[in-house]
Amino acid sequence: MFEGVFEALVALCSPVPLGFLVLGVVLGVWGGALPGVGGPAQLAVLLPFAMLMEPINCIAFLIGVTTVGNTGNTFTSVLVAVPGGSGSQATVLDGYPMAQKGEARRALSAAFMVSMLGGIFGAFVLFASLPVMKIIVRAFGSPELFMFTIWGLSMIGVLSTGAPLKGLTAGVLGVLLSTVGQDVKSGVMRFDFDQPYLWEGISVVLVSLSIFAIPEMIALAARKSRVAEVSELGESGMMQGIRDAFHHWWLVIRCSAIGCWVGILPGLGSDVADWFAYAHARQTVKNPETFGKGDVRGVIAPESSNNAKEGGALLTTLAFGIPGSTSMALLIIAFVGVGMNPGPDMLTGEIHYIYMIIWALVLSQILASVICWAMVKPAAKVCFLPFYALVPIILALTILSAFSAHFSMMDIIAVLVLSAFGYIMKVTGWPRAPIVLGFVLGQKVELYLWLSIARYDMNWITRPGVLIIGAIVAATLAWPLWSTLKQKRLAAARGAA
Amino acid sequence: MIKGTGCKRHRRAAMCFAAAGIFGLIVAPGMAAAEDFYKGKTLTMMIASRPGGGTDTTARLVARYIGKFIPGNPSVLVRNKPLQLIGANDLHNKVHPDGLTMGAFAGGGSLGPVLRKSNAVRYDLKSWEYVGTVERGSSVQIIRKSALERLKDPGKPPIAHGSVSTDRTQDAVAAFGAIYLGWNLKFVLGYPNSNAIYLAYGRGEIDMFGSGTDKILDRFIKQEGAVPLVVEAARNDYPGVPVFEELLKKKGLTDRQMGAYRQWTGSGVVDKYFALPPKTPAGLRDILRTAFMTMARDPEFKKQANTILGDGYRPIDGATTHKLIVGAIEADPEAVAIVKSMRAKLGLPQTMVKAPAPLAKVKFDAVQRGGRVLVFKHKGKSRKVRVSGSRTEITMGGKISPRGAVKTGMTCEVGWTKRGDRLEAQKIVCP
Repeated sequence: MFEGVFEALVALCSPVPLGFLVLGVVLGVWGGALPGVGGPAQLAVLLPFAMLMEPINCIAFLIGVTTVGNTGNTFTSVLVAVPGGSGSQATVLDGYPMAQKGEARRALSAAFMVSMLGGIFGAFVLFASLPVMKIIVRAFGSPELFMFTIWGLSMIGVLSTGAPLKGLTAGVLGVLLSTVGQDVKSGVMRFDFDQPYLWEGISVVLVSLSIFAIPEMIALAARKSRVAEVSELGESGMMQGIRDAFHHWWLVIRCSAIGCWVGILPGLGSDVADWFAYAHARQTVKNPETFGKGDVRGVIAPESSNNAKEGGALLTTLAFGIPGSTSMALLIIAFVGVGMNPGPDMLTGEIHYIYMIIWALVLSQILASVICWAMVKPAAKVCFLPFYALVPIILALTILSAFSAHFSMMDIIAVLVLSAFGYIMKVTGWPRAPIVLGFVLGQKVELYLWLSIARYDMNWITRPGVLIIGAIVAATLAWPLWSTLKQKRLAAARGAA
Repeated sequence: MIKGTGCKRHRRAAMCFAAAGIFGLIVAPGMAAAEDFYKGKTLTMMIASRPGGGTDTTARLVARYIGKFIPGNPSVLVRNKPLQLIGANDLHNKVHPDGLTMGAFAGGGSLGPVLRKSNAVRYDLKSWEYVGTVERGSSVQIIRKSALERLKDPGKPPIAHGSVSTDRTQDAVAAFGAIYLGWNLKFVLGYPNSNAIYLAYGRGEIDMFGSGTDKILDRFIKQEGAVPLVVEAARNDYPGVPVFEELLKKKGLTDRQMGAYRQWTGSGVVDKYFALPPKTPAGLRDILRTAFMTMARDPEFKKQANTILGDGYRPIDGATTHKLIVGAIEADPEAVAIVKSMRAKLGLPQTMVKAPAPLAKVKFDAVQRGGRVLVFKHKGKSRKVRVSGSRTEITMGGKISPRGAVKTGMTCEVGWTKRGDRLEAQKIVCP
């Protein structure tokens, strides 16, 4: 078996496949760095070309393109508070404040290091899970997936520190927003207000751009300043970022494991991996009060998980030949087109392709991080651009990205309406992360609850997986309360003493 | 040589040559125009499903090849819509009929809602222009081998049958099997797409589903412990597997009940078809039709299609597709009633249409806000009736029309009901 593993590496490192890998990574990073360009949209454009290649070149190229977008996403998330993609929304919460404090280099450097580590972790999990792939994927049905979404929603409380009622309201609003459009089962149009545009629902791209990006740009323009509120960037930023990544190694491992898990569970979606990891970090680290104000841990957590999930996502795709996401679906189409057979057959007759995929994943993560590191210093200077130069560019990019949701002028009107809402939330002190998390999870909550009841009636509640996850949810909700109570008792005891 | 014959021959040749020249002068600009139209342009393939399923796979296969066979060789760009209904509504209402956007649909997902009179339907399939169909072979119901013993035993836990909604032919087979053949089934609806259904089977969440995709059927039968239960129509690759319609006949279903079965499975008359919006110029439609059939005969396309779709696929031309679809959507009210009662019995989503309001012939004194409000007199009373973009059905000359087409002074038949504290038009029929 190990011979095959190293043979795959040698084959992949031949000039032609390696060249395609590099090309794929460059395109993937570039697509990820530009909001609205990367992800499935970019993959769909490149697919016809990839399907003309030999299988090994196709693997190298497409894995390179598909799995590094979250690395490239980090630039805009940190530098200008524009979520570069659905996997980098949570990074904005601490990445942008770090840029404002003049720590953009540190944030980016830490992000790229943990992206690489997380991606390699995901590849390792994929390799280690080969013998038990199917058992892992089969262990989770709709009831367990529903409980995971409840776990995600329980994190709204974590993200609403200081304003729990506002956070809860924002979360509920996010869930309500997710119900706009047509219901799959019955065809009923919900909250469409007679507008054909709303039949398809609201795009997650629109919501995240409107709630985060545009309000920040408006605030920047109103302040008439620049992103960085300091006069110069520290020279030690890049090395400090790398040190941060290793200093918080245990957080990296935990969040990578979370990312892997989310990737393995088809249907949860990549846009929740970073939120789960961020909320977990906030709940479990010491001194979480610095989160949201430029804490590097708030960057490390989501960035390690959103790359680790790639290995997890490939697990389901390769185990069954059935994709768990749009990107994986496109990947399968390409693989089938070049003569491969993703699925159980690949585990027996074509295992060398799987080894190639794993190595391509590892090499892509390393390469992407190296490319991005090389761009950190010039990119960080964006923080010093005056608002009148930066804001128009970012607004134009954001509007273009919003337009890519449905290629309709109504996309632009929708983003303007939602941005106004997001700005009002910002100036009135309402936490915005819960509305995005509620929106992202809303449809999944409804879907899995419906499927659970339709399949199991109310008996789904007593499934072991449901009970275990329910206990974890209860523990994560109770832990902060218990911690606070304990601290109060200790403080009271000290005071009495 | 007979005198005069050589001259006749030369005259004939000259006339032929002149006719050819005139013909070329007439046709060539047209051909040049056809070539000019698509040159440098992009043809958008709007796939009415999420990526990865049967519709998406088939459409992407066609998208890869069809550009080569269209004069001018346009690029082909693929875009996905999340649901069949949404894609169909968009093709009818939003896409310009300029020959640059083609929709890819599944018969079940787009015809099904029409056949069950869903009021989410905002499209008229009769008015579409059809390019062609890729027919993959009829669907097969597969069931987990270990679940077979529960199929006809109502005393045991029911077998979970997974589906997206209930518009596909395989859903009709399951429903009729449950009602008329005593199948012990439980319907689990709402999976977002076919991939989610396959995963659910793999996880053991469901034990039965229907599919027409050869690769999926092969995989689940050979590797996932499934057996074919019935086929919708006879298939060479499944000899010995009962044909469902024959099972129903043996059971002694009445003509009306069989009619209801054909009504529900009418959506399966075409598998994956390609269509243009209404009022697309016939010339452009014909270019695409020709390209489609030429592509279908291309050896390279056939090789890829066999790999991806299996051996059982066949192309159907646009004109035949049109006939099949129009024929399928002529709904028999009795059949619709039977289907409706079956759906109620099985707890499946019902049609959404309320009892139709009676139509009254009125003349519009005023049409306000771009057709959103109609003002007219009825039985001596002045009425102000709202027109919904999604709930009101408007036809002019028998064709579905937007509310902006309604003008002051028109005389039409209007049916309206109370909605909250306002009156809303259900139906407007104008000559």
